[in-house]
Amino acid sequence: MYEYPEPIERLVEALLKLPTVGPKTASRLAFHLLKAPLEDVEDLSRALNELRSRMRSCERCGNYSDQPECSVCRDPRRDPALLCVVGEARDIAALERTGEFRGRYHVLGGLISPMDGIGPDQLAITSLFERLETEPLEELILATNPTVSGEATALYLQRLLVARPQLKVTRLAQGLPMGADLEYADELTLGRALQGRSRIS
Amino acid sequence: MRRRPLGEADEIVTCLSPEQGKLDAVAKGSRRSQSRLVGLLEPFTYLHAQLARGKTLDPITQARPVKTFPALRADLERLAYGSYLLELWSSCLPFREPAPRAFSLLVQGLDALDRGWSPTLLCRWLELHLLDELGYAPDFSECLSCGNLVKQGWFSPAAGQIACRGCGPSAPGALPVSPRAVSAFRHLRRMALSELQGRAPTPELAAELQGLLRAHLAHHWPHSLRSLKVLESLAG
Repeated sequence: MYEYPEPIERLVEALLKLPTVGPKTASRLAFHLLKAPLEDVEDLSRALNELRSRMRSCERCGNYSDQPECSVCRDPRRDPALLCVVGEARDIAALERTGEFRGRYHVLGGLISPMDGIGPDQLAITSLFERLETEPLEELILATNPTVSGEATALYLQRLLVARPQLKVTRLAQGLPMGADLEYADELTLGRALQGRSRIS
Repeated sequence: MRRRPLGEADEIVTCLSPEQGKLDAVAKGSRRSQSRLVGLLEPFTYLHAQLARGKTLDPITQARPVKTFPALRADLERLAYGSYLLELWSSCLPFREPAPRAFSLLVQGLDALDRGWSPTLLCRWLELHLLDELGYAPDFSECLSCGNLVKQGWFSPAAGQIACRGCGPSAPGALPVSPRAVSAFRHLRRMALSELQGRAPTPELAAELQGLLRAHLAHHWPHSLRSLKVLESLAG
C-alpha cells in the first residue's frame, strides 16, 4: 500500500490522536499545512509549544491561566461572596460569555462518573472546602451539566454542604432552551421546566 | 448505557434493546441544546426508540422515555451500583444478538435500586442470573471430580464449578467456599427477584459471595470494570 513520505505520515499520525479527527481530515489538514504560507505554519507550531509550556492551572480556582492566578481570580471587581462551581475549565468561558455573572469560579476538574472510574476522590472537592473556610462566601452556585454525572456531582456537593446552613447553595435552572417549541420538547426537559417554574407576578 | 461524542454535534449511543441486543446507534445533532433527543440519551433511561437503517450506524429518529430511575440517579451509592450493572451488561453482552432476558434483568435490577433495595444481594442475584442467561452460570451443587452433591469445598473460576473437600482444590486459583455460601448460591439461583426484598446476608457471607462471583466473572471477562474502583472507594 502507498505510504506518504515520513514527515507527512508523522503529522497525520499525530493529528489522528485529536478528538473528532479521522484519517481523511488528518491528511486534508496535513496537506493544507504543506501548502500554507510558512509563517502561518510557524505561528501554529509556536502556539502549540506555548500552549503547554505557558499554560497552567490557576492556584485558586483551577481555571486555565498563564499566571499563578487566572484573570477572574485576579480581578478586584469580582464579587468575593459569589462562587460558581463548574466541572471543566471550558465551562467558565461559556458562563463568561453570558456577561451575567460577576463572582468567581471553582473548577472541579471533571464530574462524578462511576462508569469512567471517576468518583468524588478524583475531583477538586477538598480545595473547594478550603476556599469555603478562607473566603467570605455567601452563595455557592452549582453549575454542573444537567446530565446524570452533573446531577450526581451537584447532589453529592449539596449533601456535604448541608452542614453549612449559613451558605446559600443554588443550582442552575433547568428547562427549555431559548427559541424552543413546547410541542417538540422532550418529556424530561419539559418536566424539569415545570418543576422549576418561577413566579412572575 | 453510554454516550460518546461524534463530530461536531452528534453522538454515538450504546443501547441495550431486547430485540437487537447491545448496539451502537447514532444520535444526529443530539449535542445541540435544541435537539429533541438531548435529555433522553443519558445512561439510565429506558426508552421506546425508533431507529432507521444506516450504512454503518443506525440513526435514532424518535424516542420517548418509559422510565428514568430518578431516585437511582439522585443517590451516589445507588448510582455507582447502577453504573456497575450497566458496565457489566455492556462488557458481557455481544453486539447485535437478541437479549430479551438480559434486558429484562437489567431493567428489573435498575428498578429495584431505584426503589431503594439493598444492592448487596440484588447485585449477586443479577450477576448469577445474567451468567445463567449467557451460559456461564457457576455450578455450586455437584463436585467437578466425583459428581457428589457438595456442602462446602473449593470453587474453581476456570472450571466454573465447585469441588468437594475430599477431592480438594483441583485447579490453581481455586477459592474456598463455606457451607453457607453453597446454600446461598443454590437459593439465589431458584429465587425470584421479588423474594430478595428485606433479606440481608451477614457482612462475611456477603463478602464471600461477592468474592466468588467476581472471580468467576473476571475469569471470563478479564478486563476490569471501572465502576468497581468507584464502588470500592465509596465503601472504603
